[in-house]
Amino acid sequence: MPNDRDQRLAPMTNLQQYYIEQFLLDAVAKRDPNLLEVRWGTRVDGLHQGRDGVVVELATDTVSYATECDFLVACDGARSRVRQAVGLRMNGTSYEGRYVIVDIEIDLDLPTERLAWFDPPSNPGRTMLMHKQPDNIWRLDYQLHPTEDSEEMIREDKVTPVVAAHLEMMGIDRPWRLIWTSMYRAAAVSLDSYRSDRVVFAGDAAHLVPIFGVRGLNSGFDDAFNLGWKLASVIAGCSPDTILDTYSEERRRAWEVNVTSAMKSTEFMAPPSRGYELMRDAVLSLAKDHPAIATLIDPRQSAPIAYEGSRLNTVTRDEGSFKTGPRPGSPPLECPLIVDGKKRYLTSVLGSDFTLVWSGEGDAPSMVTNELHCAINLGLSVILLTIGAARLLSGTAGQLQTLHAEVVEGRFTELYDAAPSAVYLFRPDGHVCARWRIMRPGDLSNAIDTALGCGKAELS
Amino acid sequence: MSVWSRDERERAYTNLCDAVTAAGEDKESLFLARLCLLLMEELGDAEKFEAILAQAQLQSGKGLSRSASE
Ligand SMILES: Cc1cc2nc3c(=O)[nH]c(=O)nc-3n(C[C@H](O)[C@H](O)[C@H](O)COP(=O)(O)OP(=O)(O)OC[C@H]3O[C@@H](n4cnc5c(N)ncnc54)[C@H](O)[C@@H]3O)c2cc1C
Repeated sequence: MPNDRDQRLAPMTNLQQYYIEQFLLDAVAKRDPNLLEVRWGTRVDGLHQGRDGVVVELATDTVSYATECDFLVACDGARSRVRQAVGLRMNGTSYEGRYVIVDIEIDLDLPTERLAWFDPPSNPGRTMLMHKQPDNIWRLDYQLHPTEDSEEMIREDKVTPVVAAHLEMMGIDRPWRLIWTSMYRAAAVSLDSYRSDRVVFAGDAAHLVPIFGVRGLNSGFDDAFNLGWKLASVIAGCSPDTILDTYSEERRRAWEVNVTSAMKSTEFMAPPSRGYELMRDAVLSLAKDHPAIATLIDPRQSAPIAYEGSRLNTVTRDEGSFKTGPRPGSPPLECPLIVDGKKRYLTSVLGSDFTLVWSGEGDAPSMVTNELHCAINLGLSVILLTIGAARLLSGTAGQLQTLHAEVVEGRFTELYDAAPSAVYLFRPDGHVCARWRIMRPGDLSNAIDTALGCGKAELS
Repeated sequence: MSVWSRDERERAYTNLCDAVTAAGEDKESLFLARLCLLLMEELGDAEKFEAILAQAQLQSGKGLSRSASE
């Protein structure tokens, strides 16, 4: 995980699901209740897709009713009822290996990192993982032997000796309490397409990845970032509904990349055959003295995936002149900036619609601000961020949202290969969709058009 | 000095794991010995080979899977 001076967030920021759920509910509470409503204790029982909408059958313990919607986003988890109702199946590989997950409460002053023991004396033959969570909660994961019974092995009387032996081996002699246990089996399965007309699938309802690498919920969030703005754009009339197909294309491809990485971690943590086991033991025995061999232990933690080749990207005539920096489709590279005298980070100043980042000598020409105004007239809220020596021509601002940032130790220039000049266009989900050295009339409109999934020239 | 890219190393490693599995437990030593001989010829450097041989040797407390995690 990136852990250098450019980062806003520390690695291994580990939040329990109940925190995330509360944060989501807090965010919902800040919205207009006419637009967003949580209906607790309500079950989806079925649905019908019509030509211009979906009818959803809902039920509480006491009443059943139907409701209509233009689009339905199914995030009803791995056993998705909506997926069954639409008649879709996920394809891929399910693995035999089963893992017990245990949360314990214990006061330890160990550093925040993920620890792994392969075949430890306390629990021979198991791979044990241990990491810190907030509130003095520690998570242990370990694999079950093929002959062990799942139901039995997550019982307190079976879990306690495994944990006790492990803590004893670590030389920890402090009181601890069992909080929660569960069982997990690795699966790498996905729908072929995440869209079925007006029903769109996201999160575990669309795809599952093996647990190693923390890609489950993280990729669900990436789905939401990707889908949210596209759906909004369709409803606002800025995009044709075919942009929803790019959600499926981009996120399905991301799942493939995620699964490849998660598979590599799984093969190392829980070798699927003799060859993997023998080689893994050899790697572990050489890793300390051979940094190159040690790279094979990389747990490949979740990272945002680039949407290379997406049809929402614009590959400009200047693309070839960039040696480094994020290519079209890439997630943003984190980068410190100074805004209004305060240290900020690029990802926290990107707008909720498009952001044009203008850097290098000279002024952002009126040509650019004119085209930005066209985008704003469409209903988009575009931010123009000028960096370093770049300035906005006075009098061009109007209703444009503008922001100026100073570079910190040349980091932007280096990370974005921005010398002598560079202009980056970020989509609402933060991914880069185009970059230039020097812009010409029409460039910006075309790139925004393309990113909105429209044909050419609809903006101008 | 290693000239492998990370991706290349990972791919080669995975192929190696699969090849060990394919050799079968009774033939895996023979397979690995053959691989070493072929790599030795490819290396073609007596001094380097001696150094690598020494590094690969299993000394007590080192190089055993059990002790790697301690
Ligand atoms: C042990 C374990 C550890 C994990 N650790 C991590 C980790 O460290 N990092 C990470 O990123 N991911 C992790 N994951 C994966 C992560 O938990 C899931 O990917 C994530 O919860 C999926 O979110 P979701 O919203 O898509 O689905 P879910 O969290 O499953 O939510 C689905 C929701 O839909 C509701 N629902 C289902 N059916 C219906 C219906 N018919 N009507 C109405 N509502 C319905 C359910 O009640 C539920 O609230 C872990 C998973 C497990 C099992």
